[in-house]
Amino acid sequence: MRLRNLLMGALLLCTTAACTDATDVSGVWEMPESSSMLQIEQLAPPFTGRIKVAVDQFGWDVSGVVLFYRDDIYYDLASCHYVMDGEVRSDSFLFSLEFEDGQRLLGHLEYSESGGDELLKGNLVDPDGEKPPLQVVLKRVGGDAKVHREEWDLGCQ
Amino acid sequence: MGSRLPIIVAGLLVAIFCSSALGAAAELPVRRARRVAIWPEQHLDSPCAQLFSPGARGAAPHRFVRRSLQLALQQTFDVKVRTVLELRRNVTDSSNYKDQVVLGRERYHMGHEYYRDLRQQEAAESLTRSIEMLNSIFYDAVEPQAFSEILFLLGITLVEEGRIADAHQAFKRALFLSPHTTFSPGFHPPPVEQALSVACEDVQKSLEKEVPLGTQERTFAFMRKMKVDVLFYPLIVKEGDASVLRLLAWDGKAKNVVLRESIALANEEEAGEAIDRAVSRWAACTHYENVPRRVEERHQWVFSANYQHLLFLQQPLRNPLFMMGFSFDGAHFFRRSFAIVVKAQFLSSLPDRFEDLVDGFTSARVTVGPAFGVSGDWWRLFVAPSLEFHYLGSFSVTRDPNCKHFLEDSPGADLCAPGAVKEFPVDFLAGINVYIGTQFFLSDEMFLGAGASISTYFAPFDRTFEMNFPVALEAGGGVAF
Repeated sequence: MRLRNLLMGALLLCTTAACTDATDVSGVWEMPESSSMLQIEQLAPPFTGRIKVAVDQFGWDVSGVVLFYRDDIYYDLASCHYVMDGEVRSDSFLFSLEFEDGQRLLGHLEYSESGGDELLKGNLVDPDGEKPPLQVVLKRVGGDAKVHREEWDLGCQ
Repeated sequence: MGSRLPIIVAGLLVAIFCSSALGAAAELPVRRARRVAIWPEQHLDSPCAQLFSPGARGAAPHRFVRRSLQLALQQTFDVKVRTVLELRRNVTDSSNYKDQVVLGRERYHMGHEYYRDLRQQEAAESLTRSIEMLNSIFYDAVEPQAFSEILFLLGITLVEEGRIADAHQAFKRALFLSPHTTFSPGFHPPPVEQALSVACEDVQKSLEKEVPLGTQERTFAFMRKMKVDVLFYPLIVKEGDASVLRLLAWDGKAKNVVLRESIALANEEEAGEAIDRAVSRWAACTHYENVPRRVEERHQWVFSANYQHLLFLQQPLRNPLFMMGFSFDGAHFFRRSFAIVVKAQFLSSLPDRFEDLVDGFTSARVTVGPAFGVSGDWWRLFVAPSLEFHYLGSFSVTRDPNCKHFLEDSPGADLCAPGAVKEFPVDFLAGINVYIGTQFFLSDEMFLGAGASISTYFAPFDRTFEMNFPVALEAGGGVAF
């Protein structure tokens, strides 16, 4: 009986370990069309525009880029930044961005689903805490195939 | 080297031919021994005229008949003889024997009381029930005398009830079981004496006496219960003034009498020889079944192909590293449960959950060793310890997500720190493998199989390798010949 319980326990552990996967954020995320332009006062000079996130997830590790656009149609690229220390814990996507002048922003986005859309909602935070957090909503617009197809896996060029 | 090749090939062909020829010789069928029992000799040679002459019906016992029969059967090949004593012990050892005897005897005593109270109908019912109970445990085969007493009382009761035909059957069976019984003249009323006389004549003349347990169904049921293929039944009857042995053999498979010999008993020596001859004739004509050969007796060569999954218990990744592939093996059985097995396995790595394995790799394993097996009619279980030689292809491992995501020679690749990717060159490993497998034969030549193995590597001796303890599960099929 003890052996059977042990085997059942091992089987359950294996099953949960193999099948229970954390949230997969691999893919391309953009701000929804309905949302207004983002104004990032935390940056100097302040940035107004939209952001796009193109990342790949490996287990809980995340790598990729965050692209800043000055327009609504994701054409006029202002800057490109690498996702640093990206990781997914449960439903949270955590990362940091580093800017040329040494400024940093921390991202803490929660994965959710709404009306058939996959969303990442959360804040961009100034690590020094001098500026209030900035709310961000991103909608998935493509999986990791799009990341590779659009060559965002080359990095910031 | 080129000139030696034809000699080597010819040598191999000769070896295969010789081993096949030896295998064919070993394939001679093995006969299943026939289980034979001897029924106690049945005497029906006492004259019915002496039925009412007390003490006059004791016939010569003819003990040599059983002795001669037993000796003749014991000298016959592939025959297992069960004695009368063994048969009786088998009956009395059955689980419900004692309970049924107690119940049956109780019914008999109850019937006896009813009879003494002149309640014939209740007596007949109680005695009939007693006989049914005792019949079900073959009490007549163990205690014929006691059983006949119940039948005699039933017969007498039935005569007084006016059921002459039923009484006749009861008396016949009673006189068959207790053929030397005599009655004091005038003790029973004339209708009972008349019914007894008629039954005595009938049992000696009819063919019913050739059935040891009353009916063929009961006889075969008894043989099945006793696990007996053939029941030898020595019946001693009177032919003219002489006693004659009528030797019958009831065959449970044929559901019939397969031997019927009449042997004069005047001269014991001649009768003994005649019994011996009769048994020889039976043995020559009886049908022996072949014992189904076990799996390992049917073939010497086994080839199989399997689909395999492999897991390294020790490896440099954060998550389990699985490989999948195919294995092909060949085995030659030198003895029934001993073979030499050669096995080749070809595997490819599968992506791990964190994709720490940057590039997939291939691997090839060869194992050589003995196999020890046990098998039944359609299955085999075996264990094969062997030496393993493992070619492990080159691969690289990293835990840095930037090294996995950004393409080489791209600006993003700069984020992949130097040394973050660990390279593992081609390696050759050697160790010990233990395989436990099973095969299920669909036919004489084809089987499905499954098994599991584990290996441990001890070479290279500097222990530079980081991969060890591969556990493999596999399933497939094969052919044997």
